[in-house]
Amino acid sequence: MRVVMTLVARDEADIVGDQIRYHLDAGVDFVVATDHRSTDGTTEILRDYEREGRLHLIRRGGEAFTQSEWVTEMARLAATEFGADWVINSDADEFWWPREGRLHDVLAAVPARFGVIRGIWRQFALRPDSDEPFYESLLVRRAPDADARSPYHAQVKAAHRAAGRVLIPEGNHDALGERLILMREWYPFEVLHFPMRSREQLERKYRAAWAGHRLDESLPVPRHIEAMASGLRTSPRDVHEAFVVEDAALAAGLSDGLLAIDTRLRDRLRGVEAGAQTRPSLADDAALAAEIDGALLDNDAAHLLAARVEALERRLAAVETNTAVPGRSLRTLARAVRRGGRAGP
Amino acid sequence: MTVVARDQADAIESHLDFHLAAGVDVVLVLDGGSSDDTRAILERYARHGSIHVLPPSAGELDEPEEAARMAHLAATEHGADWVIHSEASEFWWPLGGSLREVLESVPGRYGIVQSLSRHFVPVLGEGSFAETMIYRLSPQAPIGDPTSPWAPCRRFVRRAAAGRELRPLRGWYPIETLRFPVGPGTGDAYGPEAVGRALADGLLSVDTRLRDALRLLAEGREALTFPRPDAVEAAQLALDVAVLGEADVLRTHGRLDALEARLAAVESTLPAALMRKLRTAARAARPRGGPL
Repeated sequence: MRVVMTLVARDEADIVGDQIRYHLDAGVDFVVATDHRSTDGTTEILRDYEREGRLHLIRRGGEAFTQSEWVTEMARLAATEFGADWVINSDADEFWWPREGRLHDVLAAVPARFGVIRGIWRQFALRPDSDEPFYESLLVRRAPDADARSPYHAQVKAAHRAAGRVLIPEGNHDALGERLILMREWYPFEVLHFPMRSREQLERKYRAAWAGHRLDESLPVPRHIEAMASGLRTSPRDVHEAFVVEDAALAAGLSDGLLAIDTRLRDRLRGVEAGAQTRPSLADDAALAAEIDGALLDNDAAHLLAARVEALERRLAAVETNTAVPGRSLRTLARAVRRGGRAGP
Repeated sequence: MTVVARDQADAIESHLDFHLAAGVDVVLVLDGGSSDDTRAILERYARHGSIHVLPPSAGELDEPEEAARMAHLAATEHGADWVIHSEASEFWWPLGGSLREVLESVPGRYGIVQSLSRHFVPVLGEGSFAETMIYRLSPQAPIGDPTSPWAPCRRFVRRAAAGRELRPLRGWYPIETLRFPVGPGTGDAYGPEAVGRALADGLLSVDTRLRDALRLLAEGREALTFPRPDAVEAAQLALDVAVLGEADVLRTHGRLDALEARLAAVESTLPAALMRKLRTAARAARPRGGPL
């Protein structure tokens, strides 16, 4: 089995090298990367991997950020030019963490009739700025927000069987194509997500993302990017303070369960063997299930439908049992008419 | 664990042995008027202090009411944190730890944990039910008839928290409920040829977990271990859970059909009832002694 990862990066030199190193070690065989106008050293990092024969680099010069078009092109190239069996469409700040075994074990376990599986974002919180690599300092995982305007909103990401005519919609949350049937009810990957890593990076990232999305007239700007850019226009300091987790907030968050210490990526990037790491505990499973329950299932179509049917059942039962109400109302009306008649001329 | 047993001498002993070794601390059993050896078996376990046998309430057996009574007793008299209400023919198989470990891992804000039901089919043959019934129905399609014993369904484990609204942890199935057709009225048994055909067609799969666990207990093992599913097993479990979701959609259609019928009944009776009430109101509004 050959696994190809696609990647779009813009000025992510602080993370992109580790992101590629992690995935190549985890079982990704090849990377197709799009570099969008990077000026911070990202291009050079990608070129190094290209020289090693592990990466195919595409450079995009325009300001517009047309993610769906670019990722679709890369996913198709993965199938037609680079021999992929499976394609993982990732961002530079995402780390696909298989919950059972190694990446190949998970993909091999997918029944043949299914072509798409999903990972769920696990959000890592912004911490006070540090000179250490991001994976040494960002060790606090936080519960996802149900609000889509939050950069920490709940979200799924999709990996798919390679297909020459696949279509990847905006955000890499789905993969559409012939025989690409989604395997629901299974989240065999956690996608460890580090969207904000320093004050400078968050300001640069969301301003550029907003400008890039605005120039793609085919789609609205994603709500979380719109909200962040709007906040940055008003007060960058307030935005940073709203998201940075200081030590006092960390202690409170750990005690109320909204925050958790998660050193898995740090340990892996320090060189701990994948096989040496323990499998998820029942508590890990339950915590992930609670995140899925709280953030994703509330918007699940089947659950929404069942909730509406329940509400209708309650309303109809009320109508059925309150047939006396019209009678009471009419008796009240009759009394009022009688009183009115006596008081009239 | 709370159990209502009635004429299930062939399963109750295995049921008690299994759950006491799987992490259940206390079993409360109500004998619902057995005429076989069930009562004698229960009294033997009770003498050893392993279980508590409760008399049924007066009158006809009302199982939901008895289940509620036992759940209350479990919480108030026996210090239960969680209560599993089971049938004697059900075996609650935790995934990745004992029943106690699974339930202890649930975040405090949740009070209901789901279990995926697994249906075993009756099989012709000699020996105990656990030795012969090792074929499980593959839930490859939702069954539209909710009364079918094979319909995909879920069971629930609840926190012992009377009066508190319990929130379910949806989307997580850390327990499977293995259900065996023992006792009266279990339907036609599969012969060897039918089993072979169903296995070849993928309608049945071999599942020896309970048989193997009971053999270990018979050899003297006191506690059982429950491995975590690997990637292939986890994928299969997810597929079976997806079938449950499809069955839920079918059930929702059934509920919508029932709603339509009830609405039609209201629509057909409401105008007549309204006219009667209007006439009554008009009579009441008429000035005393005046014309109608």
